[in-house]
Amino acid sequence: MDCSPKNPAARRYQYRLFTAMAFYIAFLVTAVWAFSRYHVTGALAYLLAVLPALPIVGMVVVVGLYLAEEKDEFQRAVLVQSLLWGIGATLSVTTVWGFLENFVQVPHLDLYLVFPLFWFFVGISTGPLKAKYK
Amino acid sequence: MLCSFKNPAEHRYVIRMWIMAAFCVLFSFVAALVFRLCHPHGVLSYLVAVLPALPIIGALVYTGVYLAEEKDEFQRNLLVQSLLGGTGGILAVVTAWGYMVDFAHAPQMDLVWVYPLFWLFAGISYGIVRSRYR
Amino acid sequence: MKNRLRVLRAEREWSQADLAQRLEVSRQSVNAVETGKFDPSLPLAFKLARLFETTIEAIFSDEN
Repeated sequence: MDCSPKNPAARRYQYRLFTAMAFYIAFLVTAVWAFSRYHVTGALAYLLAVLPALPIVGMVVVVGLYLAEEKDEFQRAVLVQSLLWGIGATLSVTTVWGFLENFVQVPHLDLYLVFPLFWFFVGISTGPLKAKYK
Repeated sequence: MLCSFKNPAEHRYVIRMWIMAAFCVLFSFVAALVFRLCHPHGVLSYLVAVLPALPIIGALVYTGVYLAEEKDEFQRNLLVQSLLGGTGGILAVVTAWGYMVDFAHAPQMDLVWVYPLFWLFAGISYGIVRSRYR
Repeated sequence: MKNRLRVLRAEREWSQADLAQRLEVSRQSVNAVETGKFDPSLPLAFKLARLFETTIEAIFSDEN
């Protein structure tokens, strides 16, 4: 996906993604600050903890919207394929790591890292995918 | 999709998935038993630990194989949409839970459950997508 | 799917980018269809047929 997309759906997608990312950083910083500064407990703690996850949900929605709005069916198909490869690799890694954590001593993989891990795999799958269609 | 097989590709896929699930359960017990009785160390302990994850990776591979084999493009499209819905659902839940664990000391979720939870969300998505075509 | 898009393009001296612009898709999409690596949907196939003033069967050939 290039940096200056020509079609409106792709432009909207990049803008929305950027916005969600900004909110994510802001909410994460807020949560970290609040928890380090104050002794938050109970329901408020859970609400504050979920705050950084909301823009993540937003990003999922943004991708869904793009898939619905993009008129170019080929670009849609390529993104879908990279998302599928991404989730396949992510599920493999989390399952292997999960069993390793259960039986042997390995560093713990925090659950909130699954999302960036997913995007990493999506990213590296776009290379081979684009090459396939050259 | 689970109860009435319309074509050989789908039939093969469902059987393979059940077999992989059975192997995963079996290998989990075997691995636990081996660790309790034999106390393996080093490379062997890692190999035994990873054993139950192999059928899961097999299941993911079989899903990819089915997507390539299924000639009915509508069925294929239904599955793809379900998988995408499952992806969105699992990423959202796992991220929210991860932050709740980190900040609000929520109970930890074992990474191995990411995979079955994914299929739960995929199943829910399948129901939603299918209902659109009634 | 095999098709005559390259020939039809050449007749009008359209580049892949030209065709992509007319179809409102990306150049990669045109290339993917042209090289037979991606089958267009019905709406896109009809768009192509109308653009080249012919029928879908005249552009695409189903080997089966």
